[in-house]
Amino acid sequence: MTEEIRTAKPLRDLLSTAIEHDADGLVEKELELFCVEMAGERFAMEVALVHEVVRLPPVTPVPGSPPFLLGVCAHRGEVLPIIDLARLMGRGEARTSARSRIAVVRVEGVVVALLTDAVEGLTRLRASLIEPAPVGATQRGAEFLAGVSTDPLGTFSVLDLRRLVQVAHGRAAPQ
Amino acid sequence: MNAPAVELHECDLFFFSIGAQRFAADPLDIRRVDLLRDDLPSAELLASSQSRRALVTAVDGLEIQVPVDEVKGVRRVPSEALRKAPAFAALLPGPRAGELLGVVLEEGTPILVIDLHVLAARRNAPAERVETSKEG
Repeated sequence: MTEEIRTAKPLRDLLSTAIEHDADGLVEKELELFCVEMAGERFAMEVALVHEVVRLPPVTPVPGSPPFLLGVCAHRGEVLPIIDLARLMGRGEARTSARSRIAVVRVEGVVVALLTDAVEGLTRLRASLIEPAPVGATQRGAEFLAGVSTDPLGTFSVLDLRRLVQVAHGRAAPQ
Repeated sequence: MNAPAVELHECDLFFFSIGAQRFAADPLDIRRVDLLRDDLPSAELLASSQSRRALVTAVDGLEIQVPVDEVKGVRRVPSEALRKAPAFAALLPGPRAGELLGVVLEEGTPILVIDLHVLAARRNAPAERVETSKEG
């Protein structure tokens, strides 16, 4: 049996490669995305970057932190910053409920917890079915989107987690 | 053959609370615990109308009080319970940068360890509005 070794790659890289393969008539790659709900909309993220999804643990607020930083929490002995995705994207704020979950993601060595209203689970789709986010979109948080697509449950936006963490970092520590 | 001894460390932390939130600080940063006074400059960590006591620290010889609601006292904690402040949380904006020294885990809950000297030094920093609200 062949051992499968999966390596995380940036979504944009996978998308560009997938399009080339398609043009060559080769088998098109399938992307596995993790879908969540936030502010009444559906969002997806690269499953390779999502380590775990757990219930919202006790949150310790950090005085003076930017509004999108909900606080910090302990997870498996580590202390993680919790980012309210809705606030970061300018779409109101996450409403914590029994369905709330945090997605623990690791992006280029930085581990953060993303607060979501609820999780749906995994979806697989061909990379070519992800369309680029509209250029110059005025939609709030458009800068964090890698693309948009649809599955049987409806339309969803694909988050660019690298960009999201990079921007959050910049906003947390403005120069 | 005996296994090599593992050296474990521990340290003292001073615990206090403001509102419902607990904090910790280095006891060496605290000159004394006093009643909140009108004649001493204050550096607020969190706004609270319940503060009757203060942790008095000193910056460049000047005493500055940090209002607190409740003093829990000093407790020794193992080094395994200490964590660096995580990404983002360590990078507080503007004059609050550096206030968060780290985190101590107590029964799975992070308690912020505050650098009282940095907090008190902010009292003398140029006036700058500090955003503490969680309103978007």
